[in-house]
Amino acid sequence: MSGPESLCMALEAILFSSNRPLQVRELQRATDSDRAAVERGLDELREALAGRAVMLQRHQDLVNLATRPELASYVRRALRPEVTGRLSPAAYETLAIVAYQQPVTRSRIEEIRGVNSDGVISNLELRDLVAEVGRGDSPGQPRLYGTTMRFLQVMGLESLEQLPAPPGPEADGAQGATNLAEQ
Amino acid sequence: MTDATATPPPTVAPLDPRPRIDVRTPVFEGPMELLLALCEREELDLFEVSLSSVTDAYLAELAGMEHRDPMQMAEFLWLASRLLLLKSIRLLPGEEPEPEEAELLGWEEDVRRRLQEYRQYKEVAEALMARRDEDQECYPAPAREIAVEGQEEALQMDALVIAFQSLLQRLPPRPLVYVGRSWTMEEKLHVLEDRLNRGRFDLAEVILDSEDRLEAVVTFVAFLELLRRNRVIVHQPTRYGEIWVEERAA
Repeated sequence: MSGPESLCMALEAILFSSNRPLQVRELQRATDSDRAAVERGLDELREALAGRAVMLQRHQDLVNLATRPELASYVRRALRPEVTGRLSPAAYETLAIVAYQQPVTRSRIEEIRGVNSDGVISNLELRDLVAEVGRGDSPGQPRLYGTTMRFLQVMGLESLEQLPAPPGPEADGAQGATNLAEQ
Repeated sequence: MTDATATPPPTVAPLDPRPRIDVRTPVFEGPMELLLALCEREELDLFEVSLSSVTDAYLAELAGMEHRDPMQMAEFLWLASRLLLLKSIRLLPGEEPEPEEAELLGWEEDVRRRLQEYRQYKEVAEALMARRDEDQECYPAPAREIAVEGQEEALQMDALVIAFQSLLQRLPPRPLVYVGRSWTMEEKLHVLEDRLNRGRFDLAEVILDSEDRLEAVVTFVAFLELLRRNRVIVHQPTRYGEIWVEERAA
């Protein structure tokens, strides 16, 4: 790599041609750069993509290029991708808890919901919206669950920081971004 | 599974004597959900009044519930008994609370805290649901063709079964007075082998060729048997696209 500018472009090229999210580590290897350099390159790429149709999605150490959520209706009309099945209110409840509490154990989810959540969790796992992200320290080393890149895609988020509203007494629901299609 | 899409929709049973009720009433999954709904309905601020004030409404809801699985019912009843005990303590004020009662008053605080927390997540869940309805998905680059050959990927059995169940829904159940042909797996294996001799086939097409669901199940099992015997290669060129079954070269 000759300079930070070309690193940014190299990252864009790799992410553009990849058909799956890539680990920061993989980007480091592919570009012979250290972590800090790749992170700087990614920041630069994110800024460079402002105002473009494609954005940089980031989940933990995974990065991905994806179309902006405001443009979903165009993509959908052009390509008619399979619409994923609707989730039940129970599934959304569980998803909300996992999203804000991750990494979180099954028993913590059940404590909040006050009801057995085995079925809902495995359904979310099957849909790749929630995944096991490790094991807890407490006795029995319970599984820890977190959200996935797919969760960001389905919800139309750049990263978890964009989650609608923090759970708190003043939470008053999400205000979605203005829809380009309506302008 | 709790999710609506995972459980197959009710099948059409022509001679079912029970009337089918399509009216959806709210089903409360657990005692917390019911308690929260009651507080909202009665417009009670749980942080102002005692939990015992919802006891009667809670018991009335419980009495009106359809019978459900005993484990779940136990959770509802446990909360009911705590609420009743709490109410009885509240009805007799002025006495020094006994240790057990003091514990129950502490429990009330705990339930309030949990209700509060639960309500917050319910709100977030609604926000997520609204977001999903806004058609705001982000589309990543498409997955490339995956051929299950050479480097074989582990078959996701759950996903396969769910896909099969949705196919089953497209086939009529066998009419009761109809004497249909019954198939054995061996027979179906031969049918599939014949198809393979004529070239690759689309799995869904072969399954949907069935006259009824039983036949579809036998076909599917025969297909699984071919997989197990390592006789076939399975391709799915596009995500959610056709699943092609092809004879594995010897």
